[in-house]
Amino acid sequence: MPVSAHDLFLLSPILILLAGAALAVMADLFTPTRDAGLLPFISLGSLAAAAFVLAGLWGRPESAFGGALRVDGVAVFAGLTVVAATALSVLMSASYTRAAGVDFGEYHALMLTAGSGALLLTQAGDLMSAFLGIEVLSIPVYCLVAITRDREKSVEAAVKYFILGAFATGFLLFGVALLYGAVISQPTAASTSAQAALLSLESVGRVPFDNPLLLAGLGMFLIGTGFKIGAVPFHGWVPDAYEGAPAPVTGFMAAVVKVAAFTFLLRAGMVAFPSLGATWGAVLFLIAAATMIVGNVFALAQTNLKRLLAYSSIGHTGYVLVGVIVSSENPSSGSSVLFYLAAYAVTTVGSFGLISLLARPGDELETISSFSGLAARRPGAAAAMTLFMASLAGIPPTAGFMGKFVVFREAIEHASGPSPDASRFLWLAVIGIGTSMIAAYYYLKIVVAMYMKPAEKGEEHPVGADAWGAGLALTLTAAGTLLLGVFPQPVIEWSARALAELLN
Amino acid sequence: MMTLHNCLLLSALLFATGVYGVVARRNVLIMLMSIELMLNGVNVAFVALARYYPRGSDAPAGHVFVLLTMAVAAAEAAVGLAIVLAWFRHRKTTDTDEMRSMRW
Repeated sequence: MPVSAHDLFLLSPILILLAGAALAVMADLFTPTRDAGLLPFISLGSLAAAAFVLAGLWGRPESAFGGALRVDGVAVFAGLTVVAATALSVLMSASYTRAAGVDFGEYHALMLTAGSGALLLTQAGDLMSAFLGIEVLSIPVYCLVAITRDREKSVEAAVKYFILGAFATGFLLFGVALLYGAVISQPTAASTSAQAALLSLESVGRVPFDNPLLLAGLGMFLIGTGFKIGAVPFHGWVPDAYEGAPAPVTGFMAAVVKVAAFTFLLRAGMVAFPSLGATWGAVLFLIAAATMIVGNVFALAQTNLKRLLAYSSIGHTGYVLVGVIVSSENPSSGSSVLFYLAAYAVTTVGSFGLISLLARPGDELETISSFSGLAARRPGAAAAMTLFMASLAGIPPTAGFMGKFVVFREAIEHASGPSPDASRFLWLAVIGIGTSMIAAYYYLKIVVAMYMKPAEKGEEHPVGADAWGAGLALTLTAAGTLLLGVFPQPVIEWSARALAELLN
Repeated sequence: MMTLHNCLLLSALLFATGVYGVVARRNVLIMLMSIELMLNGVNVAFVALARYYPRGSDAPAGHVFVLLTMAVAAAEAAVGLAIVLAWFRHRKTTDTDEMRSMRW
């Protein structure tokens, strides 16, 4: 299979990010007085270039490397979300990493490499590039979690995340091996003898759904991805990893890892596993319901803000899973998943960015009580946090409300569909709306602390002199959260067009 | 006795041994080794499937995947050992029961 220049052009957003990563390490080595102020601009520059190329690929669905990469609307939409979330995380990191003494070139290199893996995952057209994308995304994130290596929490979180992440990789890989076996043992499953075709999602989709290898492989594959997205009962690592990781890294994990993994799950559910509902539908229903309930109920008892948001992100994983389940049987619903992911990414990067803005060297203000009285001293920050909490809770007029609205609307609309299992969708929507109401309590608890409680002694929030990056990122995320809630129509239309390209 | 059935049985056995090791042992280094065992079990499955079915030799996707897995396993081991070492410097142990700085 010859590699054409056009293939390399389609790959170029990923290559640009990797070049930026190399440049960041080099710049750190060769600048005489370790001027770390340059590094964020290298990262942002390469992210902007990647976004430019990606945006240019909008509306022209193509595949590269014999179908290993699919640069279609879904890949571009999710890719731009990934790039934007990475750029916002880089902006948030600048003052935080300086205060924590980890403003190395490697920090930026790791973030850009993880971003390139996320892009690869959103474009994956076969199981090999999907696996590669997951690993290129995960391995740098393990390092990023541990990057403040003087804090025991950070390193401990990394050990837990790494062990469970690598364990999940094993399951995922065994699933891929069984799926490969399912394809190769079917004379008709792969139409051509091209190398990639044996592992392509289309070939997997042509295997009859009662093939035992396919069933077992799909089960293992679901366990592996369940770990990666943090779905119950594979969510054990999420609270520890989110609490221990430096706040900007937590925001990056919550946004970028989820967007990329769910985009692939959406694509795989439509292309490779059209039988998903028929074979594993009941299991998926239980997983989604348990994820929504466990995430939101456990969040109620948390006093640590990062841990609370970790459980909240488990709950949101459940909401996105509802969208994925509905769209595996009704493909046109997939656009609601894309919109939800974009809305969630903006909000979650913003809320973790706020935590990193208020952090002090070696000590993150992360208990809810340390946010008491914030409104009196930092009215802007308190207003932004209120907006993010409203969005996570799904209160209009915010991005989170529109996201939940489109996902649950699809679920309810298709509940009366022809499929015999369609009534499950209604139950999922009911559980989703019920748990959202529970969730409003713990999100409001934070708002109450900021506006109605006096500050605790010694909890002064210092304003970093060089925190312009975090300030800019907070302004952008707050504006995005509001805009997606008030004028969601253009983005909803883009997500629908993106999905139409995948389906054609 | 090199039937596909036996090879897949060996693969499943290796994988299950690895899973048992990760779940049952409390030493981080042994857990790391068990993860390697899981990945090697997967490799056996890939090679066996690619070798057994004639179409696997026409298109060596299965063989290539094994090389990819080995590269990823090496990268994971490097990062994993570095993280474990960083943790060892804090706690002077590799016992996972000592991981107690965060509790729900």
